[in-house]
Amino acid sequence: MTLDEIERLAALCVRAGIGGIELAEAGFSLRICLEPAAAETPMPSIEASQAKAAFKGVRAPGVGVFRHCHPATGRPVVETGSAVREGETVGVLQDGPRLRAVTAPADGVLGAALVEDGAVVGYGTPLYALL
Amino acid sequence: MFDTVLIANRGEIALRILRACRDLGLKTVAAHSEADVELRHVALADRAICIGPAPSAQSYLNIGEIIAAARLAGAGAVHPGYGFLAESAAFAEAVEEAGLVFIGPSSAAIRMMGDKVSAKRAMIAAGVPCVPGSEDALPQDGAAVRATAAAVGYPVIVKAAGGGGGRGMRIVREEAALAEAVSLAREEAGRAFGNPEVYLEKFLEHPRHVEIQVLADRHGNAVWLGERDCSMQRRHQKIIEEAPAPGIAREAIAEIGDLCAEACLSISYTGAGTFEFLYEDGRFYFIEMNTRVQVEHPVTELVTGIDIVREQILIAQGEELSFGQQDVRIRGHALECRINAEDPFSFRPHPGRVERWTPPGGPGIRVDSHLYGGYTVPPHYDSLVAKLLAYGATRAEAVRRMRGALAEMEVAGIATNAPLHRILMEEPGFAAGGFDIHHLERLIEGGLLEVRGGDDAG
Repeated sequence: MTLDEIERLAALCVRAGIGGIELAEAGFSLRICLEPAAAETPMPSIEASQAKAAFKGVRAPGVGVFRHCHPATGRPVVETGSAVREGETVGVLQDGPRLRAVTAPADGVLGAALVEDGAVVGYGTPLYALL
Repeated sequence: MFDTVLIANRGEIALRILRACRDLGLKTVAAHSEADVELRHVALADRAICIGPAPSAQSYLNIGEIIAAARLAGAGAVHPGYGFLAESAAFAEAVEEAGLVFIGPSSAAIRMMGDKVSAKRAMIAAGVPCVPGSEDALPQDGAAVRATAAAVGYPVIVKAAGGGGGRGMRIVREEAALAEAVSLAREEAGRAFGNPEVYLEKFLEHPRHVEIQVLADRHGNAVWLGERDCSMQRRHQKIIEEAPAPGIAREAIAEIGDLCAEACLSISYTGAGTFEFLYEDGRFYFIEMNTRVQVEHPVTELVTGIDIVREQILIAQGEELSFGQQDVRIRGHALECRINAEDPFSFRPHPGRVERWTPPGGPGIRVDSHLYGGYTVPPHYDSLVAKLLAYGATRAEAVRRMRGALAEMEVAGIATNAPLHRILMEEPGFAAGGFDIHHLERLIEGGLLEVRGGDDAG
């Protein structure tokens, strides 16, 4: 079996929504296990990570400085309380001259910013509640 | 000079770097993936910043995010550890261009030593012995090929210039078989890699892996810190390392060590590094240089008393080495067993939650590990979870202490390869020392794990 075939098989599993597949033929066996999107093993020692996993709002897409207002306009990209659509840009991260869009993971109403203006945030930091 | 170091790695080496920084009064930033929030060094660092999701490609290999994290968190230097981006010239260059200090050699030195052809050329120019062979692709002229093979000396190995993995490879033990082997190798190489060019090298039948640790500062000083014997390997993965190398004359080591230190100066190498050699019948053959700190560096620390990670950082700060070659003394013997979270008999990775972790201790024992009770070993990365080190006045004492440490060590919740190490500590070939790099594979083929398979598996 080629790598390409294995990749296609794995993609099929994902599309079919099954957790894995095992197959064997002469001199060859293959087991594909797909990790569920949410970690199966809870990590009880870190409450924060559980809280994070449960957080359904808008998170930082990467490392950057969180800005409440867009540096170019001086106004928030989206006002608190506005309805937003999945994938819509709702905020901004800054790293020097580079700006990075913060997008809504789902439709909803944008809540207040959860991190103060100018804070350095990392990948996955909760930035806005989404109601 | 910098007062904050971003640690661009994970696991035991991240913790090792953090400890060295603390000793030097430097602040630390832990750049970690989303799967590594629980890591020990993340809890201990002055600041932690998540650089991406679990897959390495999006976190520990993500140059842009790491540089952004370093800049925004106020780090003046980046320590790459080993693996991940440690030997990426592009990463070192990006760090340099961001105005930060890369704790390691220059990107130019990494690039030169990272390419097999340019590395070998540089080593030949520096007088470091390499595996003899044809410098370029073999010519069509049979007489010329025979002359090359005769000059190199039989047995020789014919290899594809365009590839690896055993294809287009032929071992030739006598001249009569040469012509046919070369034409078969060409045919195979042409089919497999689309390039029929082959070259020829001396074939080593029973080499040992012996490497030289070096340190070089930015003021033209370079020293070598003795050798390590890393011949206990499985599928090119080292599992036990020791220093000094049993049965090799100190004069021979000193001779190759001096050549390595001189080579550092001739290629403008700075920082810690390792020259890896194959060793057979009293001769050293350079294979490659590792331009970073290595997993097994503590073995050298135990026999020299020199903190290699601390020296790396001091060199990066522009300090001059505080000691010369005459101050480097090898005392006693040290061993390292790499403890991997894997099934000891099938070698399959075995991540999971560590229910209990009781590391060994006592005179001469050192444990470098990020484990703690309640920690979950994630499935995304290398399975190394601890390095068990034993030091003794003699090799026999170090082995005795290692046996004791392996018996003391307790880890529940994940499987480790400790049972394999316990078997090897009793194995006659290991006890004698001086075995070759195929020793462990031979033992496994001979049923080493089947005879004892049942007893420690739980």
